[in-house]
Amino acid sequence: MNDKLKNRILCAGFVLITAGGFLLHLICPDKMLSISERRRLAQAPEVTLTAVLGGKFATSFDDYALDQFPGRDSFRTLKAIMQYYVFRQKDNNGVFLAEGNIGKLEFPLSESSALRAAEKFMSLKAQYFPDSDVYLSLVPDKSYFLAERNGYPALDYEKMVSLLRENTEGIQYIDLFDTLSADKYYTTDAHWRQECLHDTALRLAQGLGVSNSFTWDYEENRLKDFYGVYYGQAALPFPPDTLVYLTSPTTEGASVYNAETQGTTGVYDLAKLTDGKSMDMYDVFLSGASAVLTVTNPNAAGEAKGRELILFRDSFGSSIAPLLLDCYETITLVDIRYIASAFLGQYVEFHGQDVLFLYSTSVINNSAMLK
Amino acid sequence: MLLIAEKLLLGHALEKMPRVLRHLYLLLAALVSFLIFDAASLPEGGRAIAGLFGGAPFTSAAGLYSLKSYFVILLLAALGATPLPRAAVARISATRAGGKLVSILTPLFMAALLLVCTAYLVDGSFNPFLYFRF
Repeated sequence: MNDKLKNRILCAGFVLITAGGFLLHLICPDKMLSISERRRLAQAPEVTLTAVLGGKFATSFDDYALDQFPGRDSFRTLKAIMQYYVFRQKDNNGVFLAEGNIGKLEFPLSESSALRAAEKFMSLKAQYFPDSDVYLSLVPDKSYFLAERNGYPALDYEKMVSLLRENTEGIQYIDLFDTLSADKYYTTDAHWRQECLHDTALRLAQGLGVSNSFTWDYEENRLKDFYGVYYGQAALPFPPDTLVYLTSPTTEGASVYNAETQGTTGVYDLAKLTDGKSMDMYDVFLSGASAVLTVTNPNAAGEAKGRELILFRDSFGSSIAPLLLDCYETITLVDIRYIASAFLGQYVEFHGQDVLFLYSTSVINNSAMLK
Repeated sequence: MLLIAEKLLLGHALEKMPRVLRHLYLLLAALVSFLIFDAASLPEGGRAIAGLFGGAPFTSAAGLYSLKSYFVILLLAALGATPLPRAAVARISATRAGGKLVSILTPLFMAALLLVCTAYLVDGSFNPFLYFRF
C-alpha cells in the first residue's frame, strides 16, 4: 500500500468515526439516568443569550455531550481496561481492585473533618440530650481491610478514632473494627452485608447495655443481581452481589414511619426494587436515605418494652438498625446529612432515650456533609 | 510571556548557555507552565510551584503511590519523547514486507488510539477544552 493510499484511508477512517459518532449522537434519544453510575445524566441545555454570553451554556453543553455520548458505558469500560491492564495503573477514578473486591480510595485523613464531626456530636448532645446515655461508634470503610495490605494509601484510622474519642467527652465509644472483615462487605458496593453482622450487632447491643434482649434468629431472603455503587464506578465486568435481607417475626411486625413523606412502610421496602425511582437495591433497607425514620416494634417484650434508641446514622445504619429491633420498642433513625440539626426538635422528641452516633469513616472524613 | 522574555531579554543569554542547561531551562519552564494550567486557583498553583522548590516534602505516601500508579505511563511517555519509536518504525518500513506491515497497522493503530482517547474523554478524566478556563 503506498503512502497516498494509506493517508486517504487514515483520513476516511477518521471522518467516518467522528461523523458516525456525531450522527449516532443525533439519532439516539437522550437518556435520563445512568444505572451503572447511579446518577441522572445531563440533559441538553437551554440556549439563551444569557447562558451563552455568561459561559454557562458552554459548560452545560460540555457535560451534556459527555453524558449522552453514544456507547458511553462501553467507552468507560474500554478506559477502565486501559487503565488497569494496559497502563497497569492502580486505580480508576479512585476505585481499585483487590482480593476480588472493589474498593474506593479514601485518604488522607482530614483531622479538621474528624474534629468537626466531634464538635457536631457534642453540640447535638448539649442541645437535645444533655442527660442521656450517648454512644459513638465508627464503621470502617472497606479500604480499612483492603488498602494498605494491597499497596494502596489509606486513612490513619487509629488517629481518626483517637481524635473522636478525645473530643467527645461524656460519649462512650463502642469499637466495631474487630468485628468486621473485607468479606463482610459487598464486593461491588461500599456497604456491609446484613447477614454478616451478627458480631457487629451484638457488640453494639453489648455497648448499649441491651444485649440481654439481643437475638439472632432470622430467615435469609435473597435478592440476586445487586450491582453496587462501585460496580458502575469501576466500569469493569464484575459478577454482581446477592443482597440478603434478614426477616423475623420482629422485623415483619415492625412499622417504619417517615417524617418527610408522612408515610408508613415495612422494615424492608421491596417496592423500591420496582418503583423505577430508586437506582440502588440497597434502598430495600428502610427505604433508603431519609432524614427521620421511626421504627416501631409493637411486639417488644421484657426489658425491650419501653426502651428507645435515637440512632444518628448514615446509610450503614439502615441495615443494622433492624438487627437491634429485638432490643428496643422504638428506634428513631436520624440522618443529619438530610436535615439541619437546628430543625431536629420539630421532628424528634428527645426524652432521655439512648443515643448512638453510628457513622462510617468515610463520612467522618468528609463531615462537612453533616448539617 | 516566556517567549516575550526570551525575545527581549533572555535570548542572548540562553544562546550562550551550554545545551544541557538550555534543555533544563526548557524542562523547568514546561513544568511550571503545566502546574499553572493544572491549578484550579492561583494559590493552588503557587503551592504546587513552591513544592517544586522545596516547599513540600520530597516524598509522601500520596507521591509514592502516584509514582507506582503512573510508572508505566511515565516510561511510555519518556520513550515517546525520544526519537526511538520513529526510528524503529522507519527501520521496519525500510524493508518491503515491513513497509506493507506498517501501512496496514498504521490506520488500525490510529483508529484504536482515537477510540482510546475518546474513551478517556467520555469518562470525564480529561478535558480537552483546557482553554475554556481562560
